[in-house]
Amino acid sequence: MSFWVNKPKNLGNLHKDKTWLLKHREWRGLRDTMYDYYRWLITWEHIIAMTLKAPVSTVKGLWNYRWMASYLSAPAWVDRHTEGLRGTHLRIAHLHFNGLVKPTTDIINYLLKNDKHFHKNPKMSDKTILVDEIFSSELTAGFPGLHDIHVSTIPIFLTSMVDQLITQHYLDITESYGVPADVCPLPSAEAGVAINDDYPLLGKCALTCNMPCDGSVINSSFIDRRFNIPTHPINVPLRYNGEDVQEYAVEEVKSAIKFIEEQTGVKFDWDAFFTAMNRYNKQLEYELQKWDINKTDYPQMTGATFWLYRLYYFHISGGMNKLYTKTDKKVNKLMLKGYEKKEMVSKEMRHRAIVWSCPANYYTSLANWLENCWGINVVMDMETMISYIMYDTTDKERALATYAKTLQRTTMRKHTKGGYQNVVDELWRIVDEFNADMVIMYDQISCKGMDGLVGIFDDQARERNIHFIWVPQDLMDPRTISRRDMRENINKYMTTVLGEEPVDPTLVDFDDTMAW
Amino acid sequence: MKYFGGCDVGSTYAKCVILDENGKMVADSTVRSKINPVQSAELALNEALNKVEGISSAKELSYLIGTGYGRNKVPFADENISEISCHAMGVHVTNPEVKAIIDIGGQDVKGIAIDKDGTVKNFAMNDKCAAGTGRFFEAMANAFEMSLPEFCKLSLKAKNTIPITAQCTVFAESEVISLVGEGKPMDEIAAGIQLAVAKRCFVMAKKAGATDSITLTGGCAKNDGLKKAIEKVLKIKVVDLSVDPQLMGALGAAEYARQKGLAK
Repeated sequence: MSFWVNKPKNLGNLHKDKTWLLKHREWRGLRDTMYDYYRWLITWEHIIAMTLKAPVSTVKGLWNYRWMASYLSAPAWVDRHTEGLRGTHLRIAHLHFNGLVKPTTDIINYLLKNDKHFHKNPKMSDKTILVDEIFSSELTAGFPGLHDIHVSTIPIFLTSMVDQLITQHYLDITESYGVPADVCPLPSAEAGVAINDDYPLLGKCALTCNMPCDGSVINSSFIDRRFNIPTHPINVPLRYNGEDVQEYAVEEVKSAIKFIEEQTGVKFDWDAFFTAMNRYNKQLEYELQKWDINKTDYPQMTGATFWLYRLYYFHISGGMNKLYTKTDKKVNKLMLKGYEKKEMVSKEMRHRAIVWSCPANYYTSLANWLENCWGINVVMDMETMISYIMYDTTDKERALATYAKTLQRTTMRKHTKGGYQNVVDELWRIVDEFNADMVIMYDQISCKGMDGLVGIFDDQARERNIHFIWVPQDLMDPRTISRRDMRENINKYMTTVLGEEPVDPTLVDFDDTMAW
Repeated sequence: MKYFGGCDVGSTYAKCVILDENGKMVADSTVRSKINPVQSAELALNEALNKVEGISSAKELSYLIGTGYGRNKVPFADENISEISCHAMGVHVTNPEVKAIIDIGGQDVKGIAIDKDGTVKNFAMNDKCAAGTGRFFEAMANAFEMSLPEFCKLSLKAKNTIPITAQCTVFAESEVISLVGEGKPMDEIAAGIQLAVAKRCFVMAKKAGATDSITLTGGCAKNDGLKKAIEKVLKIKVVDLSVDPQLMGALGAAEYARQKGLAK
């Protein structure tokens, strides 16, 4: 009996070599298989609805923009992150993914319908504000009737997660243009989209920011030249823990408000701003509850799905989209139920891991593989631990002050700026809180940001007796370090240092170089 | 008598060691790797087998373990084990006092901390860049128009060290050519190259948690200039092994094969 309960899922056998296409869908028992299939159909429903809402624009988009076709593989992306999951865990992952797929199709629809490449005078173009991809949208919620678009998110940032092969074309374009090949591939790929004229052209004005690094700042200049619309930079303080920089940070936010008012003629609406902030606060409450459950012996939300979801709603929704509060309410109910029933997220939970530093966009599902192959359950990660400051909506100045603080603690920025304690001490605090015995540490080889801290991490991990596994990766370029190379580092640690046998031997080594 | 084999198919050399059931090394071989790892493994094994009386094929070995980057291509192996584990075990059976290894192979550098029983405590590796590897030294020897053994001894004569700023093989080569062109003493440039690599090895060793009692393995362990530079950087004496350090991976594989074969 125990053999049948604990037998490996042999998930590797479900796939074809190199393309990693599914030979057939995973059998998870009747209920879970039906649920998974139903969710798979819903993903397709969103994609088809997007096409039907604007068929001509969608076809033009597919014809003109290389990145558009990558979204057709979105159902496979969802499959990669839900492989091997069962019961509550499967349901939570799918609900989170729905919060990613549905708004994405809506944004693509909006972009294509208002793209000056395809339409002479698009209706909403002049009511659109372009913003940097790690900008928090609550501020633009204060301008009802205007829409903000995170300029790089849909064309390249998210696409690179859905399809690992898409970035190579844009990276080559940037390099052919004369930018050195050792630049961080994220801004490099984004610049490639601009050089290739693959950004949907719309917008009245743009907001950029000095985050998270110089590469990102340089990339803003490429985008600025392509869109050729008035652009305003918000320069966020670097040493953000200091109270003495907060006044300056608030002034920067005020200057952005003034800029938008001048460019669009729309007055800032404090009520709308507060409404979005309150909705965000509610989401954050749900978020913190999720973390609390993950701190227990019965975490309910492991893998990569929760950081993808958190990243997405934090930046894109800006407290405006009610879908997220609805989703979170459902998810939290499921999580609490699972916790009360002492449900295990996977049969073999050997290690509780924290994933630290920025993950590879081309391999977002690594955490899922860790769980299925080695029984390593990722209970928390750096991307999820971005700002969790509640907005203070008691008055205007306090609201702006908390917004400015949040903006200083967005993705990547929170941990790579403001001193080593924000990334080193914060890690150990989280390791303790989440009772982790392992850290999966991404080593983004084209980023110099963390290089000076390598020795400190290693020494302190040894002192704490924490398994610390470095995983080199190149963020958006799988040609430098492939998914297989990333897995090999973990395989080596698990076999040579820990001497463990895999939970699923069919997943230890496989070739997925041609996979989406 | 039962015999056990370890075959280490490296990126530049393939090595094979055969042990008897008491753990005594009865044969070994080192051959230049072919483009095809299967051929490399077969060549190394056949050369080693020729040195053992009474056996002529892999089938007659009780157990054989493949290791090295081409380990998955060793057709006659009963099992594959990573070269990190094998190097640790190889060093452990040669000298149990040694607690850490800097392994400089043809295409990668590893720092390995060894546990009391010869298993791996921790490791760090650089396999994405040729800097500080055997390939790097080959490129440098080429730039000096010398053979590799000549180049390895050159720095020992140097009274001063000219620092080499570039650790990238390509950049270092052009920097070295510029220095030679400026008429700087060759031995002092060579000392600079050895020091640059030693610093890189130091990082790997520190990363793996190596503190004392360190030895060198891999082909570059035979580079006396590098050994001296590492001793200077680490400020400790590097332990010399009684067995050829290039054979440590194959020896460790053979020892694992012996343990597993006898336990069968």
